[in-house]
Amino acid sequence: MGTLWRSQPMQLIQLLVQRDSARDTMEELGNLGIIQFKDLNANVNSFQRVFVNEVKRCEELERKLRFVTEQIAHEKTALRETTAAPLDEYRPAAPPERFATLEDLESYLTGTEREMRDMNANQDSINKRYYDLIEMQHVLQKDNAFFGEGASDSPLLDEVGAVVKLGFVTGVIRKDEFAMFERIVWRSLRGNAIMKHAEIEEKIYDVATGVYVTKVAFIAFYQGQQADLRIKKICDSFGARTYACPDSAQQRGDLLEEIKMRIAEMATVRHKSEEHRRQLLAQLDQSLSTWVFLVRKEKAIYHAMNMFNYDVGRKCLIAEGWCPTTATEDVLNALNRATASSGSTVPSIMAVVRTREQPPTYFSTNKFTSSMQGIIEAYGTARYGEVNPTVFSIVTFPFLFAIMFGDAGHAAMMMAACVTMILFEKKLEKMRQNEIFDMLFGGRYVLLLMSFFSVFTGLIYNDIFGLGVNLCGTTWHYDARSGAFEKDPNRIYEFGIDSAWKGADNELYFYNSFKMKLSVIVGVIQMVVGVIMSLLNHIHFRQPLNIIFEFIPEMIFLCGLFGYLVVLIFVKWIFPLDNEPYLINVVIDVFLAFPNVPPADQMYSGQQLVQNLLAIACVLSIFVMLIPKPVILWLQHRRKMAQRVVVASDEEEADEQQRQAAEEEEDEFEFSEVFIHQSIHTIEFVLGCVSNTASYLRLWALSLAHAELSLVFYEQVLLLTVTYGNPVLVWVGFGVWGGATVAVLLIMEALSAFLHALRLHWVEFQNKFYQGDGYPFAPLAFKDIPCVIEL
Amino acid sequence: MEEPGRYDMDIFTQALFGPPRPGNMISFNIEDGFLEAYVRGFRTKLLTQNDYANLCQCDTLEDMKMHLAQTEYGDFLANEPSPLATTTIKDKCTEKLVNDFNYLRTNAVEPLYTFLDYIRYGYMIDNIILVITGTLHQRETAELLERCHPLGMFKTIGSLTACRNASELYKHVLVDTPIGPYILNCLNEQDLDADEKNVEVIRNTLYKAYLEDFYNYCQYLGGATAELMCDLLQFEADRRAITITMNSFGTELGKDDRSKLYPSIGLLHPAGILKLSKADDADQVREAVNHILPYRKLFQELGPNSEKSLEDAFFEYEVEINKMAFDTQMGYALFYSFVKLKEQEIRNIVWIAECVSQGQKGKVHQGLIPLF
Repeated sequence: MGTLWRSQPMQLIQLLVQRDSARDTMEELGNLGIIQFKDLNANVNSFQRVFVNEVKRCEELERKLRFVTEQIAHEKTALRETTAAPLDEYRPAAPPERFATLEDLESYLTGTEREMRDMNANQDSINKRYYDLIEMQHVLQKDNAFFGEGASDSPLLDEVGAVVKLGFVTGVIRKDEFAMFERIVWRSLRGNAIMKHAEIEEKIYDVATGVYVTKVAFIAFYQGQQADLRIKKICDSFGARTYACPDSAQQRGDLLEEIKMRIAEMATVRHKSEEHRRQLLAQLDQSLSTWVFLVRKEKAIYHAMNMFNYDVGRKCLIAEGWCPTTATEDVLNALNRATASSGSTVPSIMAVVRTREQPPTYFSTNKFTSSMQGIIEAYGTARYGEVNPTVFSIVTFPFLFAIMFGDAGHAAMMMAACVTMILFEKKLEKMRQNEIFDMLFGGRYVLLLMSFFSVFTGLIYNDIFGLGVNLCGTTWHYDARSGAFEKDPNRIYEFGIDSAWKGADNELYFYNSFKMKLSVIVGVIQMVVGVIMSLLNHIHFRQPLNIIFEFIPEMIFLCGLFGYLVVLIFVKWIFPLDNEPYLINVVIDVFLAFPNVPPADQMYSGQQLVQNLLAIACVLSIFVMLIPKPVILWLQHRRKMAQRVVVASDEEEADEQQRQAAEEEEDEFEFSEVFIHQSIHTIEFVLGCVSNTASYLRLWALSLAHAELSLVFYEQVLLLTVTYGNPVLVWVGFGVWGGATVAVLLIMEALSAFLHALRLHWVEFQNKFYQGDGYPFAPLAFKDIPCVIEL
Repeated sequence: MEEPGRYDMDIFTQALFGPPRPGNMISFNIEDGFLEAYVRGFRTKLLTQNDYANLCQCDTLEDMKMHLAQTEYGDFLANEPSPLATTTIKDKCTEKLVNDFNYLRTNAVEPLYTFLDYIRYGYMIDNIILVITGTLHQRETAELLERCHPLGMFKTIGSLTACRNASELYKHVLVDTPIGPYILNCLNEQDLDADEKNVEVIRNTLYKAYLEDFYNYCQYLGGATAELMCDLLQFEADRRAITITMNSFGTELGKDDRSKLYPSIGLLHPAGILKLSKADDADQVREAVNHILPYRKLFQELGPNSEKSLEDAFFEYEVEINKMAFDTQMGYALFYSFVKLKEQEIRNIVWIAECVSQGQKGKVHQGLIPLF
């Protein structure tokens, strides 16, 4: 508990590190991960800091790595779409490259990037030539059809017999642009052109955008020089590629044959170069993550070093940072190791700095406590030195949940899921992907406790899937003579609630009374614990004023009013009376009927004296909370001011006075402000006691809702279908009941009970003592660096 | 996408709610509230004086990249290999503006969608002129298309290279685009190849028609949109009128031709325009705009030996009024101002980058117009 109870003791340390050994030192410290460095250059621009060039270098390397990652990802996607083998199969036998230093990696990556880019350019040009040939092949094939349509003799195209010769242009254009293209051509030539087109079945790779597109082969006939010029310009502006195509069928056939041959040649070249590229990528792929880690680690080091003061004269860096006092030894060892490894002659120096600044809050957690700590920190990080509510919440949170979710059957199902998650935790940890599942998985230990306690409360309530079980044999028997149930006077039901209450006429009355009282008892106890926690805080921060004028009256008020109610509840349980008064009325009449006790509220002798004393104590405690503290603070402040005048006259203590003046500046005293603050605190506490106690009644409400809802599903869905006696209907009914049980009673109800338990902790419990205005400890630690580049 | 219809409500909606009035406050938040809030969010993301001060201290473009990475621009340059070029920075900044604008466009409903399209038409006109001029100088089509502003792109823009006069421009290409009607006034301009004067005339005719159309559309939208947008467009019209006049001195453009190019909206219209059309030198221009207070101030600031150019002065004033429009509510002027301010921001960044890369850091404050 030691590490969780309060923040680990932190200290501000100053490090004096020689510039030569600074990088090695930071590497050692980053491996340890126990120092949070302060930014000593907050007012310096990021690009004017000392190690900005190193950071830039790392960013440049990161960019190169991102480029490689992109290439690999692109290739992997491309391979997935084809039937080719996945990238891993291309992996060469050579072991992955390892680099000790950034310089080696940098030169390697620079070479690799250039090689990649050359290769891509080469690949693009090969692709372009290849697909140009493919396009041309299609154009020739389509043109055969276009020319063929005009029957065997096409006099206009014939050089010999024609009066005017028609020109033509043929080419390929993207399908989605063809309509626009056709329209513009038609307009430009005023309709004096004939355009034919046919879609190419094969998808053509577009080198510029890197995607496969559908294209159309077209041919346009026209007449005249001007038209020729225009149509070519339009083709140009649309990015349509035109091909020279011979007039005669004979020549076209020859050309086609030739092109087919060249395509075959090109295909082998293309295949070879692709293969080569994939091999390189596969090789890079296997060591990419170690490089990313190396680069990011280096960047983190220089980023941290940019926060240090650089003493140019002494060539040393001055760093300040927070670290746990227990880690002093580790830090010293790390410094020594770094000095030794860097071969520096001057050792690094560590000094502890005294400061008034508030240190960061650091709780070391394990996998069991971390999720609960996370829930508490979602509200606010504890102030340094403050008691940590997590310690109690680890148990009370699941327990309050269980009071609301009290059903042994549902809880057992939940527990099974948690146990599965915990048993296969190693495997599941690797395959985490889904956000919602991650959340459940992260909170698996809290969930386990929640379900465990719910089984317990379910057994106490005698609720299993909304039904009761006769666990120990009921103590009530039907007496035929009197026509009523009789209780066996010699026996007390051993565990939980007697199953006879289940289904009884007054079942609800009984359960409501029980759960309502239970909620109040649990609530008041938790609030009292909260107030006691505030005492621990006051003691820790040495605030005697707060103990006398806050803690004591708060305790009197809370115990006097609501503690008394709890005592009465127990009294009523232990000594049952015939004409019992309503406890709520009794408590209200403590004030409203003061100083008398109305006969209806009479429970025991001497009640009047006790209640009147309590009422007076409560009212007095309100005033004690409200008035003395601000007055005393004011008096103290006045005395301090008077002292300061005396000190100021003493010239010897000029330094001391300066230091004090700096301290004083922080607490300018404004009486009205302090008084208002105190009265807000008082009002909040007094009203809070009432409303918070009422708020705890949600324990009862949720529990009631859960029990009733499970009963309704059972009766109205499952039982109803059973009464019809139709097996198919029962089958359906069971399905609906099972689905509703999981979806509504397990998931939705658990979620709502969780949220209410959360609220009870964040508001009702923590507002008694928790400030939550600290900031978390965020050390420079390499183990947190992600080694995958997200694209 | 290419040819958005003009704003038109179906008759049932009209019968129920009366004629469309996006300026009304009842339905504004229902239809455009999200985008208004979204754009409003950019208010704090625009570069501040502080950012500019830091950027001006940079010694290299890499430094600028580092600082910009801490602003709204984020790691937009992260994938660019060093050394950076100024054009890369410009392209990337523009790309970001275009992405933001397209986000607005895809989320907009009518009539905001049409309004946003109107903003694009200005860029379209610029692109058309760019392509025509480029063709005159025998540039490659691909190169020209690359230099076009992405906001003003339309599919058939490349085909403009095949046109030789205004009527061909209209008949072959622009008739398909929403700005086709704008060119109707200058169909008789012959032969684009002949000289650049015609190109300039076409540009200004297009702009005149565009501004007037945009102005009418804003009037039609009514409400705060009409109020604010008309101010902004009037300034734009006046700026064009003054610039046309100033640039026409010593060219072949006759006074008659010139007066056809003046937009029929604006604070200067009609009295100032009349004077402008008769002006022969800069002093007469100054005289012509003297009765409009903001313009008088602009010209006063310039003075004889001031380093500032008229263009810069106009930019400053434009930023000023757009800043005011950006802080208003319940109207579309916000969106217009957003684009204009963002454009100025890009101009600023590019200017600083130019100064830094050419080692002219002394001049950096001359061309810089900080926004907020």
